[in-house]
Amino acid sequence: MTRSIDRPAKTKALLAIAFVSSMLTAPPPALCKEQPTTAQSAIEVIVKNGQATPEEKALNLLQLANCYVTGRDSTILESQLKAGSRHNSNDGPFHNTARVDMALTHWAETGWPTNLAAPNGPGQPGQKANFIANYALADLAIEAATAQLSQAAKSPRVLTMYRIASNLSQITKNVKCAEACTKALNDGIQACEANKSVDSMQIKTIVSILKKMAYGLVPIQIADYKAPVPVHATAVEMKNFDECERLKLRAAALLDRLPAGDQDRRKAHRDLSLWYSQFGKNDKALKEKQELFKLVGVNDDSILYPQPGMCGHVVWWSVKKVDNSGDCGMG
Amino acid sequence: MIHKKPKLGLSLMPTEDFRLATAELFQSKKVEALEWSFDFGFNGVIAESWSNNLLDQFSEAGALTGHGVELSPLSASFSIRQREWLAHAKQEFESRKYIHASEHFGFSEAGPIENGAPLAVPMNEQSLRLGKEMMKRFAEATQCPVGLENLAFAFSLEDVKRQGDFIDRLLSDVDGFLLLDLHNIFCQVANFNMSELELLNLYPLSEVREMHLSGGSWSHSVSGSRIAVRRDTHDDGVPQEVFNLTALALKLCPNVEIVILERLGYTMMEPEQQEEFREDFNTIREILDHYYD
Repeated sequence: MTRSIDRPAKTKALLAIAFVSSMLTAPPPALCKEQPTTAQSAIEVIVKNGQATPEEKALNLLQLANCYVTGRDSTILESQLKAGSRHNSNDGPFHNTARVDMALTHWAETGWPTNLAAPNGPGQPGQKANFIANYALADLAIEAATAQLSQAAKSPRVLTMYRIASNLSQITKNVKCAEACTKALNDGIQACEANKSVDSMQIKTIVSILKKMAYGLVPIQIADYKAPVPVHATAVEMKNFDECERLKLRAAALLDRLPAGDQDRRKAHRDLSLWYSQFGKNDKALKEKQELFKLVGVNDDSILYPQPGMCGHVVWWSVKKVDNSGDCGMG
Repeated sequence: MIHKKPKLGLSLMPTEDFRLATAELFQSKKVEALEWSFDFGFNGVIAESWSNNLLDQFSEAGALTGHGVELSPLSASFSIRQREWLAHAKQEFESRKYIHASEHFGFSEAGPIENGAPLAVPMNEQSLRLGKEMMKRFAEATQCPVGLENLAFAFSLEDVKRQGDFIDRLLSDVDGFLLLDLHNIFCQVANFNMSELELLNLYPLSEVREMHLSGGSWSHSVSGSRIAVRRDTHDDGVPQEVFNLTALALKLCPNVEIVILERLGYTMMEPEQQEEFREDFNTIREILDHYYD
C-alpha cells in the first residue's frame, strides 16, 4: 500500500498530540438529531444533504443501488443514511483515504454476485415484480450518483465510482446510463494519463481500472506461482488481443512514472512478460523480462516467481533463499 | 501527572530486512528494550548469531521481554502440544532473563488446527476458569509476571465491549498485566465504529504494562456490511490513527513500562520500507519525549 514517508516523524507526533488534546477536551455529542420524516426516500435525503460532498453522496447512492440490485436488505443502510450516521467527518466512510480507495477499487474489480436472477428470468410468483421494483429504485440511485459524480473533480476515486455505476447499470440494463459512465471513465483516464503531476495512489487507481478493462477483453490472469506445466493461452480474437495489449502497455507506462523499487511497477513488467509468453510472443516477453531485471538489478529468471515468507506472505525479487520456518508473532 | 518514561523497543524479527532496517537504531542506542517471540525456536529453527547476540545483550541489560504466539491460552482442552510448549518456555526462561512474558487473548488451537490466528471465546464462566488455569501454568513455567494482549478480532460489538473486563478477570489470579496493542484497538474502532476513548476506557488501563504498535491492512468486506475490514497483519507502516491512539493511551495508562514497535519479517525488503520503519520508531520517540521529558 502506498504511504507517504516524506512527512517527518515530528509532524506525525504533533498530529497525534493534537488529536489527544481535541479528544480529551471535545464537547459531548448531541444526544439526538432531527430525524427526517419516514416519507422521505433515502435517495432524496442523500442528495439534499448539505454536509456531504458530491463524492460522499455518490458513494452512498451507489451503496444503496448495490443493495437494491443484489436484493440485500437495504433497511439498515437506508436508516443509517437517513439518520446521517454515515457522514460524520471523524468516522464516516471518507475518513480514511486508503480504506476508501481500496474498498472502491475492490468493489469495481469484483463487480457483482454472479447468482443474481434476472428480472425476466424464472422465479417464484411475486419475485419478478420485486426485481423490477428493486431495479427501478437502483436506476434512480445510480442516476442520482452519476449526477453527483458529474459535479466532482475527475479524480481516480471518482473514475472508480463511474466504473461501479457502469457495472450496476449493466445489470439493470440501463444502457444509456452505462454508456454515459463508460464515456466519463474513458475521458477521465485519458486526462489522468496526460497529467504528469498525478501521485502514486492516483496512478495505481487508474492502472487497476485499465487492468480490469484489459481482463474484460482477454480474461487471463497471470498467477503468482509457477504452474507445474507451461501454460499456453487459448486462441483469442486478434482485435481483442491488440486492444488488451494496448491497455496493458498504457498501464505499464503509467507505472513507469513510479520509482524502480515500486512493487506494482515491477509486477506489471513481470506479468506482461509471462502474458506474452503464454501467447508465444517470445521477443516481447524477453523485452519485458529485461525491463524487470533492470528494475530489480538482478539477471535471474528465479525472480519471476516469489518465495513463501512468513504468515502467508510471499517474498518477491529475492534470489537468496529466505527462511520461512519461524512463527509470525501476530496477534 | 508525570509518570516514569516507558522504554521504547522493537519486536525482534530474525530476518535480514529487519537487521538492515534497525542497524542504525541499535548502533545509536535508541532501542531501549527488545521483545522476542520466544516460541520462534520451539520447532527447531535456529536464529542467526546477530539475533542471538541482541537477545543476550538485552537480557543481560534487563531489557528483554518475552511474547508467546502459540500457547493458545483459551483453548477448551489442555493439549499435549500446549504441555510441551510450556516445558520449552520453562527452559527458555531459565536460560535467559526476561522482564515479563505475554501471550494473546483468545484461542488459536482447536482440534486439528494448531496455529490459527487467535479468535475470541464465548466470555462465560467456563472459559474464564480454563483461561485462569492456563495463565497460572504460564506464570509457573516462566517464573515472571505474565500478561495478555488484547485481540484485534471480534465476532460482534458485544464481544468488543466485553473483552477488556474479561481479560481483567482472567489476569486477576496471577496479578497479571494487560499488553495493550494499539493497532488491535484501531481494528476494533474501525470495524465496529466505536469511539477511541470509549473503547480504551473499557480496558483495565491501570494494568497496562506494555504497549504494541504496528501497521496492518484493509480487506474487502465479504458481507458488504462495512466498507472494508481492518486486519492486524503487521505488514505495513504504522498509520497516523495508531499514533493518535498511542498518544491517547499514554495519557490514560499510568503504569506503562515498555512500548514496542512490531513489523513482520520480509515486509520491508526495500530501502524505502526500512526507512519508513525507522521513521515510525522515531515518531513514537517524539511522542514519548513530548509526554515525559
